[in-house]
Amino acid sequence: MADLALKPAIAGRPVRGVSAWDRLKVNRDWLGLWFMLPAAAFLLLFLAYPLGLGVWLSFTDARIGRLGEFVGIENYEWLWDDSVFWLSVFNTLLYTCVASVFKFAIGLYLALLLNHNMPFKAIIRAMVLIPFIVPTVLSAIAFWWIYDSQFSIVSWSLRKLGLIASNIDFLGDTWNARWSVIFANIWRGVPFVAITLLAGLQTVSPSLYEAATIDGATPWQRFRYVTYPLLTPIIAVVMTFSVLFTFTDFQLIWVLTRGGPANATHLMATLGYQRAIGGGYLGEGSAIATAMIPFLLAAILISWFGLQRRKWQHGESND
Amino acid sequence: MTDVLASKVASPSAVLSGVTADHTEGMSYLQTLPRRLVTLYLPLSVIISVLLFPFY
Repeated sequence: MADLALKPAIAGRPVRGVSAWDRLKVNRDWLGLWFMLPAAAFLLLFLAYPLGLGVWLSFTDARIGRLGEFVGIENYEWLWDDSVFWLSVFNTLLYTCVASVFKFAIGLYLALLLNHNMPFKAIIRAMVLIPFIVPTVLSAIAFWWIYDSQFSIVSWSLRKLGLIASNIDFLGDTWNARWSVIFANIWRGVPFVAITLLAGLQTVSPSLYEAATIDGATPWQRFRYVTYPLLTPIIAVVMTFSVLFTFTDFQLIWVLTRGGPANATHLMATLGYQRAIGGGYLGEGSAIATAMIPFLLAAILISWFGLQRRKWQHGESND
Repeated sequence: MTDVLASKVASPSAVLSGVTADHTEGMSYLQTLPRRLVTLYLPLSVIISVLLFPFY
């Protein structure tokens, strides 16, 4: 009815020529493009440009204060024969694999514990987050003190208990230093995994557990056949992030050991920084940083395709 | 089936005395306090102690 009433008025209005600009102004796709532009500019400026510059520098002999010239894959050939680089690759893979596995196991266990009903639940969950919210440098300094060769509280306690005769050289011995930095990374990463998995656990309906219990399922079976399948998508996301953060870790190592002793704790990130900024060889440092990209892509693909949501979780059958 | 269930449920006296019931939802009433101490509070306190230790 209203349309009928309006029609004569529209019909009586003088028809004006609609320009291409007028049509563009009301075009949803065009407007969407404009709305995306600030975010795209931000990403291009702060993500794509540094990444592209880093890759370009890896093909040059640039040094601090000198632009450098294109040298092809010379930096990569140099790295191929560099034993310290391969040691840093080994350290990075060891650091990432061991820390990620432990962070996942302890984080999942902690999330399952925190999912229970208990007194002071909110306060306990907040306390768990403290290691994650404290700045990395601050927690690294705390661990530096704990790992001190003379004043370590761990060594002091073990000596008082009569378990050791002399102080443990946490950061002076190669393997001790490796395990020490891995422990510090696990300590820092567990709350992130636990709280994120806890958020996933909260979405699992209690009726599923009740039904499983009525069917006689043991606690392990409830976890294996109810909790784990429903948690798989969030595990994929959390572990992807966890692996990426661990692989690219820099601050913890730099504060605790600076890559020492004898390069035993040098990760690719710390070695790249040391060569590029400390040594001034921007090209070589950039090549080390660029060499991390294939590892990171592989980690993302494994996490994504290995742990993504299965079809049966949507009510469909698997292929 | 009922035998399996019966073995999981805490004893009626314990439930009535309020030892296990924390008046919250879920299936926590199925666990006795000693079991909760071993499976929940002990591991939780160990993990939280380790997490908070560097702030001593």
